[in-house]
Amino acid sequence: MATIAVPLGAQAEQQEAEAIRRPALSEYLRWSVDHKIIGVQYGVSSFLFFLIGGAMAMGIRLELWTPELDLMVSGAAYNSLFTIHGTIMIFLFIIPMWAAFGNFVVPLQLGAKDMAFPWLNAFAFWLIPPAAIVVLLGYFVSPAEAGWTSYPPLSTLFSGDGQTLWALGAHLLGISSIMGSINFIVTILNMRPPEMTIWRMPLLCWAVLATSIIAVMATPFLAGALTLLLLDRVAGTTFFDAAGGGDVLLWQNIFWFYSHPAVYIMVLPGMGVLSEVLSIHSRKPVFGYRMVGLSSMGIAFVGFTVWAHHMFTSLQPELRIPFMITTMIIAVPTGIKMFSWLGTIWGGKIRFTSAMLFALGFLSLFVIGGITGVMLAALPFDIHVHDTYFVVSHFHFVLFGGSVFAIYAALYHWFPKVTGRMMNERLGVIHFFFTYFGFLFTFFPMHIVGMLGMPRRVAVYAEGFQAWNQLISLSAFVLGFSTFIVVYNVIKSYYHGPIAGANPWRALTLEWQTTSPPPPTNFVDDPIPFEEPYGYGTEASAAYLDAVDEAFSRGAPNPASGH
Amino acid sequence: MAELTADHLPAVAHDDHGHMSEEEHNNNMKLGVWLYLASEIVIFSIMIVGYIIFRINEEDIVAQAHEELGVGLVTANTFVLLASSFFMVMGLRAMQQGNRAGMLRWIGLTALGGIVFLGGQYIEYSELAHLGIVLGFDTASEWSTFGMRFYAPTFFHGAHVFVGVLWALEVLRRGARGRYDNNPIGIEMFGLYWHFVDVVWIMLFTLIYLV
Amino acid sequence: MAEAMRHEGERHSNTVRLLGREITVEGGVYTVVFGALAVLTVIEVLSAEFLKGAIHDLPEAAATLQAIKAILLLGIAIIKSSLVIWFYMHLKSEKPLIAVVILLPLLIAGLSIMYLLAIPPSGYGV
Repeated sequence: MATIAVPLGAQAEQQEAEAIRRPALSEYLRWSVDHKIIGVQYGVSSFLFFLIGGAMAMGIRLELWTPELDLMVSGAAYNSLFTIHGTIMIFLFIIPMWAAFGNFVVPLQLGAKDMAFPWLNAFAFWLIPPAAIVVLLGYFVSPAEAGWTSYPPLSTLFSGDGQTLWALGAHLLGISSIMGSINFIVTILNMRPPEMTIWRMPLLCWAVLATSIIAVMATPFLAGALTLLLLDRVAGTTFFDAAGGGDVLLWQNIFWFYSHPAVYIMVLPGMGVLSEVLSIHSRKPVFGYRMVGLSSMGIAFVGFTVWAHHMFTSLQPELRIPFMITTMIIAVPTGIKMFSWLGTIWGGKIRFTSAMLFALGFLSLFVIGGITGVMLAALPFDIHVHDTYFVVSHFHFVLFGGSVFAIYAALYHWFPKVTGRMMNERLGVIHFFFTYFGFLFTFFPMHIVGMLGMPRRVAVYAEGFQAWNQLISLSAFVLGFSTFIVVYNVIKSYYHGPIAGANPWRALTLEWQTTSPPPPTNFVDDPIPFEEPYGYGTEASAAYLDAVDEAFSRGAPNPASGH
Repeated sequence: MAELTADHLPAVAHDDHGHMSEEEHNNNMKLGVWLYLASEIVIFSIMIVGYIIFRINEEDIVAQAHEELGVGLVTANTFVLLASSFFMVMGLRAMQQGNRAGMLRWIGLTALGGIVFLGGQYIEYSELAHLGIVLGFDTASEWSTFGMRFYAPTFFHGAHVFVGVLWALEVLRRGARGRYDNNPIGIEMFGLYWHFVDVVWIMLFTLIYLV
Repeated sequence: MAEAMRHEGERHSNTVRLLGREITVEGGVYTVVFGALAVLTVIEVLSAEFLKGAIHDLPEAAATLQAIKAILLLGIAIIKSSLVIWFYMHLKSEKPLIAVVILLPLLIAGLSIMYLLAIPPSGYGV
C-alpha cells in the first residue's frame, strides 16, 4: 500500500513520554503577548464576571419571590440591579468569553504561531479590567438605572453619576472589542497555511470571522452614541433631549444599529463551536459545510437590517412591516445552521460526552429561542407581549440556552487542549442535567407569565403571578447552584484530571495535532491541514485516527473510549 | 507508524521559528490599519449625521452661522491640511527611494501642517466663543442648539489631527534613527491614518461650512 | 513580483500621462493630484459663494438652487476624497480586499445616515 498522507507530527508520540508542560499560574497574572495565555486570561476573567452577574440574577429572583418590595429598598434599587446584571453579562461576560475561545483556538486551528498582532491582543485584554472597575464602581457610587439599553431620557436626566461611569466603561469595552476583532480578521484572512483555502477553514474560524466583521462595523455606532451620551451628561449638550432640540429616538436608532448586530456577536461564535463539537463528537463531516460558513456571513449582513424591531412601539407605523420582514428573513440562515447540525449528527456515532450534551442542549433550547424570536418579529404578537417577561424569556433562551450552553460545550471540548487534562465526565453530566433543567424551569414559565401580562423590569407585580414567580425563582437557584459544579470540576480537573494526550476527541482540526497544552510556539513541526477540516471517513483521516488510537493503546490514557 | 509519512505533501511555506516574513508582516499591518479606519468611518458618520439632521431642520440658524463664520479662515486651513497630506505622501515616496533626509523633511512639514491647522481651529473656536456659540445647550442664546452639532464633529476631527501630529513626531524620531530605512511600513501606516483624517476634513469642510 | 516592481516604478516616476499629454514634474502623480485637489477646492468655495448669492437674490428659486448647491458641492467633495484614497492611500495598487474593507463601512454608514434623515426626528417641532 502506498503511504497515506497523514499529518501526524512527532508531537503525539512525544506527549506520551513527557509530563504535560503548563505555564506557571503567575504567567496568567502578568502582561503576556502569547495568545494562549491571553485566551485563558479572557476566559477566567469573563467567568468571574459571569459569577458576579449570576449572583445579581439570584438577587433579582430573590426580590421577585414575593410581589412586594422586600430585598430592595426601592424600585430604583431594583432598576440598578438588573441594569448592572445585563451590562455585566453582555459586555463583561459573553462578548469577552468568545474572545477567550477565539484567542486560544483560532490561531491553533489555522496552524499559526500566534495572532497577527500579539501586542494589540494583550492591550485589548488589559482594557477590560479598568473598564470593569469603572462599571462596577459606578454601581456602588450612584448606580445607572436605565437598563443595559440606557435609553434617554432615563439615562440622561434621571440616572446618577454611575450612568456616566457606565458609559465610560462601555466605551472602553467597545474599543477593546474593536481591537480584538481587527486582530481576528487579519489573523484569519492573512495567516492561514497556504494549503488551507478559505473553504477549508474550520467553522469556528468562519464564525469568528463573521463575528469580527460585525464587531468592527457595528461597535463604532455604540462608540459614537456613547460619546454623544457622555456629552449630554457632562457637557450640557442636548443631543438626546427633546426639550433642547434633541432627538430621543436618535439614541434608540444608533444604539440598535450596534446592539442588534451585537446579538450576533454574542451567538455566532457559539454556532461555530456547535458545528465543531457536533461533528467531532459524532465523528461525521459537517453537513453542508459551505452553506454553514456562508450562513454565518449571511447572518452578519442581514443582522444590520433588522434593528428597528426593538422599536416596534416607538417606530412610525409604516416602517413596522419592512422590519418585520427583514427580521423574519434572518431566521433563514439560522435555520440553515439548525438543519446542518441535525444533518451532522444524523447517523453519526454519537458520544454523549459533556461537550456533546451541552451542544445538544443548545440545539433544543436555541430552537425555542429562535422560534420565539420569529413570534416576536410578528408585529401583532409583539405589540401584545412587548416589554413583558415573554421578551425576557426569549433573549435568555438565545443568550443562556444558546451562548452559555455553547460556552460550556466549548469549555468541556477545549479544556483538555488548554490544560492537558480531561474534565471529569461524571461531574460534567451532573452539571449538564442541573443546568438544563434549572434553565428550562426558570425561563420556560416566563413565556407564560409574559403572555399573561407580567411586565419586565418591575420589582412589584400583581399577586396572581406569585406562584409562577416562585417556581421561576426556585429553578433559578438550582441553575445558580449548577455553576458551582463546573467551577469545582474545572479546579479539580486542572490538578487531578486524567492526562488528555494530544487528541482525546479524535478531531481532525489542527489544534489537536499539537501537544496539550501546546508549546509556546504552538507547533513543533509545521502542521499540515487535512483537505477537509471535518473529513471523517476519508482514507487519510482513517489512517490518522488509527495512528492516534494506536498511540493511546500504548499507554496513553484514552478518555474517549470510556463511554 | 513507519508507513505514515507526510513526505510527499507540499512543504509548508512558514519559516522556521515563527517569525513572519516582512511581506506578511507588512500586509497584516496595512490590513489592520484599514480595518481601524473602517471603524472610524462609522464613528464619524454618527457625528456627522447629527449635524446633517440639524442642517435640514434649522436652515435659518445655519445660514446665519455661515454669515458670521465666513469661509476665509477655514479655506486657508483646508489648504494647509490638503498640503500636509501631499507632504505626507512625498515623505513616504522619499523613504521608498531610500532618501532618509528627504523623508524627514517632508514628514516634518506634515507635522507642521497639522500644527498650523490646529492653530487655525483654535482661532476659529475663539471667534465662535465670542459670538456666544458654545458646546452646551443654553436657552438664552439664539445659537442654543447649533454649538453642539458644530463642535462635536469638528472637535472630534481636531482630536484626530492632534493624535496625528503626535504620531508624526514619533515617526520623525524613529525615522531619524534609521528605523524605516529597510521597511517603510511604519510611515505607510501613519500615512494611511493622516490621509484618512484629511478625507474626513474634506467631507466636513463641504458639509459644515459650504453646503 | 513583476507586477509589484511595475507599481513601485509607477509610484516613483516623475512623468505622468494626463489627458493624453506627458507631464513631468517633481513628485509625479502625487503633485498632479495635489494640484487637482487645490483647484477643486477653489472651485468648490467659489461656487458655494456664488450660489449663496444667487439663492439670496432669487428667493423664488431658492429650493432648487439649494439642492443644486448641495449636490454639486458634495459631488466635488466625494471626487476629492476619492482622489486622496485612490492615489495617496494607494488603494489603486492594493488588493481588492482593501476596497471591500473601505466600502463596507461606507455602505453601512451611508444607509444608516439615509435612514436617520428619512425618518422624522422626534425632537423638532416641539
